[in-house]
Amino acid sequence: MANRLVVFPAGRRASALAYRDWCNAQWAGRDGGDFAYLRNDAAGRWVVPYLGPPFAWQAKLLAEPDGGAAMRDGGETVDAVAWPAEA
Amino acid sequence: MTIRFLPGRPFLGGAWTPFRLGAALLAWWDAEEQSSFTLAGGLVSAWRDRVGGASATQGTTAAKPAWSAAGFNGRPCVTFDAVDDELLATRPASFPSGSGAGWMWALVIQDALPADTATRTILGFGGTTTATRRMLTRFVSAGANYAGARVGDGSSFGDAVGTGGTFDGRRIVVAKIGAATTTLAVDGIPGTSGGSVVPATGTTGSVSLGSSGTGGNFFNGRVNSVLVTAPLAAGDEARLLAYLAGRK
Repeated sequence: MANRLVVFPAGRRASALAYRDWCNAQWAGRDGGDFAYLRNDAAGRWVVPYLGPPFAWQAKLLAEPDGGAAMRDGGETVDAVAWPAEA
Repeated sequence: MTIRFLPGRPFLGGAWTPFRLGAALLAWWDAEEQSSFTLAGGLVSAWRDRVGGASATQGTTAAKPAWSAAGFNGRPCVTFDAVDDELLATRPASFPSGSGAGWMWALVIQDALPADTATRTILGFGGTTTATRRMLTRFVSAGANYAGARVGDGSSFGDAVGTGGTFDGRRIVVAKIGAATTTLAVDGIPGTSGGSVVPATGTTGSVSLGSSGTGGNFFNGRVNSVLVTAPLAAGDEARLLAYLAGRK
């Protein structure tokens, strides 16, 4: 926390997966686990947490690693999404 | 006279605490008990309940809420970001299921503004769908924040509603889920309407802190305590309310 989210169009799952994997590679070794996982919003778009501000780690804002903007290409960075309706 | 200490529970000789409820206290996630937490960089990887040790966990870093030593009017709390933070635990066997009665309590700061119309969940447990789950929620109606209790009846769900406009800032909210009706109170004040729902709560879903547990409805606020109890007699209810009010 706190996070922003990167939303990729429904037809860009591969891009979303690549961004997720890139985030997890950048994060590797910090917390013993993954940074992000992939899920759908209510419209079927692909959502990955944004690796960058305002996410804080050890009480410091985390700057976006080099190369992040290129990995997010095709996605939109937003504050929140509409999640799927409850089943 | 022999004094016996119960493993995992504090000695009960002093001031009143929720442990005085005995077997009626089913779970208590307490942000003021530092030993309850596993933290990583200030984020919560695990939060264990003080009764049975049910561990609510999050393995994905971006979805971990943050622990704060003084974020709750100078007291400890766990902050959920309304974006993707949630903690999930295996449902304790002691929790009510089917139409079994049980109460859900939370001492929280509800930070969402009425402009955010999404339903947000503090605590949920039961089955894997809303129709089989019990949830303590915040929602918006007519431009005001309400506390709510959402109770699945097997095919759909019903809501008990708190008093409008009062679910902002530091609040004690309790959902009293009975075998046929549910009521809700904020700071001890009964809500405007109850839900006439016969719960059909499952047992296969996880306990969720900070989300519905069904894929969203992430809470926006700070949590000092979450408790699950059996239905309480009036005296015990008043004592628990007073105890939590002492933390506000």
